[in-house]
Amino acid sequence: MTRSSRPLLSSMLAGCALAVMAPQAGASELVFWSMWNEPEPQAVALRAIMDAYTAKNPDTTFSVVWNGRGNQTKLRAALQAGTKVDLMDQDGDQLIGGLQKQGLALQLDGLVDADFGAALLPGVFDIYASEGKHYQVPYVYNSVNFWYNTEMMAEAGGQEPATWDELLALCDAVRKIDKYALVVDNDDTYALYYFSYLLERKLGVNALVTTFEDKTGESWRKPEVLEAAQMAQSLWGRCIPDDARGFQYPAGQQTVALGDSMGNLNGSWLPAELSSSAGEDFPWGAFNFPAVEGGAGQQADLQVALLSMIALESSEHKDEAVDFLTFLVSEEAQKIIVEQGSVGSTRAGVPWPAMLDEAYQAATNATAISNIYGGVGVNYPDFYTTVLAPQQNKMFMGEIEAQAFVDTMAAETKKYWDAQ
Amino acid sequence: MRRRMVFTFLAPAVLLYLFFVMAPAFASFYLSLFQTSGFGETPRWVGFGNYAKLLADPIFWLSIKNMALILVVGGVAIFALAFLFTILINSGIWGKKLFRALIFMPNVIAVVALSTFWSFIYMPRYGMLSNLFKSLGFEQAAAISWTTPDNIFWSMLVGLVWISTGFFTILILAGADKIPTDMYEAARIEGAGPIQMFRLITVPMIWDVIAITMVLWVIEAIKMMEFPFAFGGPTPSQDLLTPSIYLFIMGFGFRQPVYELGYATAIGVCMFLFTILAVLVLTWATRRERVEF
Repeated sequence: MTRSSRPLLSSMLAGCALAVMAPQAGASELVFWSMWNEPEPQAVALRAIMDAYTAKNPDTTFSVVWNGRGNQTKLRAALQAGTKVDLMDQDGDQLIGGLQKQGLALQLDGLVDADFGAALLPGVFDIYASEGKHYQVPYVYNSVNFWYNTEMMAEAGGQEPATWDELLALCDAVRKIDKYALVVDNDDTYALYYFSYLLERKLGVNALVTTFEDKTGESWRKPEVLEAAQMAQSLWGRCIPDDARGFQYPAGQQTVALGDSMGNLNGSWLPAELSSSAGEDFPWGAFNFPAVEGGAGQQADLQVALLSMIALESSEHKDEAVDFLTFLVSEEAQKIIVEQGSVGSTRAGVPWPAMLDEAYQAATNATAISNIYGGVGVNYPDFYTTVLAPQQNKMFMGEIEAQAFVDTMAAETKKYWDAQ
Repeated sequence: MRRRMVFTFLAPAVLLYLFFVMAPAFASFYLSLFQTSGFGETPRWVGFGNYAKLLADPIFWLSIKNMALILVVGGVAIFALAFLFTILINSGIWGKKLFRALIFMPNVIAVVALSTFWSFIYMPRYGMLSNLFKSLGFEQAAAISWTTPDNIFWSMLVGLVWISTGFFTILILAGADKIPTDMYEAARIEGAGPIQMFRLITVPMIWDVIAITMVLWVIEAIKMMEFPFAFGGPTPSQDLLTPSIYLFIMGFGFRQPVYELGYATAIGVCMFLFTILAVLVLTWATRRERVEF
């Protein structure tokens, strides 16, 4: 190389470098903070969806921070520090009391088609709306059903119960083969499934929230509340083994995988959670919480815990973020979620993984959906965390009588509302 | 000139301390006077309202009760075991270093792993304890569920004592190792046994070390979080609540989006005050004339 050619070559290289570094006109990078950890199947599925989106929209790329389940809390600090984030995901009920409540989520009405929710499973788009305004796009469907071993049920000569009495009869049948039909973990939240579902079956959807929202506390004294508590307690010894009071999560649910218990009332994530101990070929079946005699709730009513993605109000790429949210619940993206993430889709007509098929049927045919654990935690997380969940656990575990639970809840509810 | 040099050399450390320790501490106290979720909304001034609410909060007092039990019952057990191990290890047994390493071992294992281990020990039906009792023919003992709401706190405390004893044993042993051996030899010649030697030589000679280890335990007990939290599963029951766990639940949302950052900060300030108070009381209670050797 001659001395005179060096400046020319340097200029050319510098020019090339600048061309590579300069942003392309119209290009945007969406910053996405995720509730998943990078190796999780759901994260792999989301990465594939982002790649598919970028393939269709080459100007839009993604920068992802895989935060894990504490995503919203980590984002709180980051937003205060001025970090720019366009998209984030979390459990929908947690978002309502967090970013959505604080006005930090972008309202989607007017930005998505008016019939956006019609393509989703019943109730999905509306469940996390606040005063009719939509902020979240639920993209993973988790439902709360009884998950059970179909072979054990066949061995016991039982069948999926439609009513509470049939459930108790099934428990008796399973006891005859020296097993228990159900098991629980000693956990404040998981233990709330039974009482909250029973109350909803007796008084209708969202009964627990409605009961709590009576500021006098007197709604707790309805006979149905006491009956629901007593029915939940009556499961011990007959359906649930007494030693389950000592099962620390996940010891209880593991007994299903080990073949000592037939089933567990839990989210549709249970088969995936137990896959390493139960095996991929475990004969999973699922049925809805049974109806109760004379109850206002239907057996097809379903408690759900949907996972949602939102665009941040402070996003500098609102159009692209909303466009991606729309893509996220497209048939193409939802098939990726199902196939690679092994979870339920929120879009109607996209079948779930085979082991979740009965939960898919339940979601498709749901007459109404309500929030997991009865929904009190959505808008009243402090009361839920410090009073309802622990007191209910004491009642369910037999530390206090059902009547004492009712009295405590009536008094604490009044106290809570008086203090507001 | 000399004084100026002292200030010059101290200045960087003092400034860093003021900026990274004192300023956040004062900012925390200031934050505790507001109601805020921490999401960037304008905090609402409530003065000492968060503290008044705390005083009337039964959950907070429950956490204080648990903390006190950990501090006192756990502390007595830990120091009793630490003294016992010190006596045994210093009694001239074979493999002193091996036993010392074994006793310290839990401190190098992640707390989450330890809590899982203890959960497995206590697990009804399949756990180590249950199977041990079954193999010994104690069917009634095997049927005890150690992690029911009635028992879970004490079961947790046993695990916590097991984990914490090693650290304090090592500190006390390190102090005891500095005591001249001729004092023990003289005592042995006079016919003293291991317990007498520990009580009349070791304890007085390392009293300052014991006092420091007690202060360290007090601080650790007041801010106890990891083991009870991990032991309690995804949503630990209130039977395991400590002020630190309660602070975390109220400030960082846990499963539910509570996000009462001002209230949580008030809990933190109270913990700080407890620590100062407890350390002052302990320092006063353990004051002795220093033995030099």
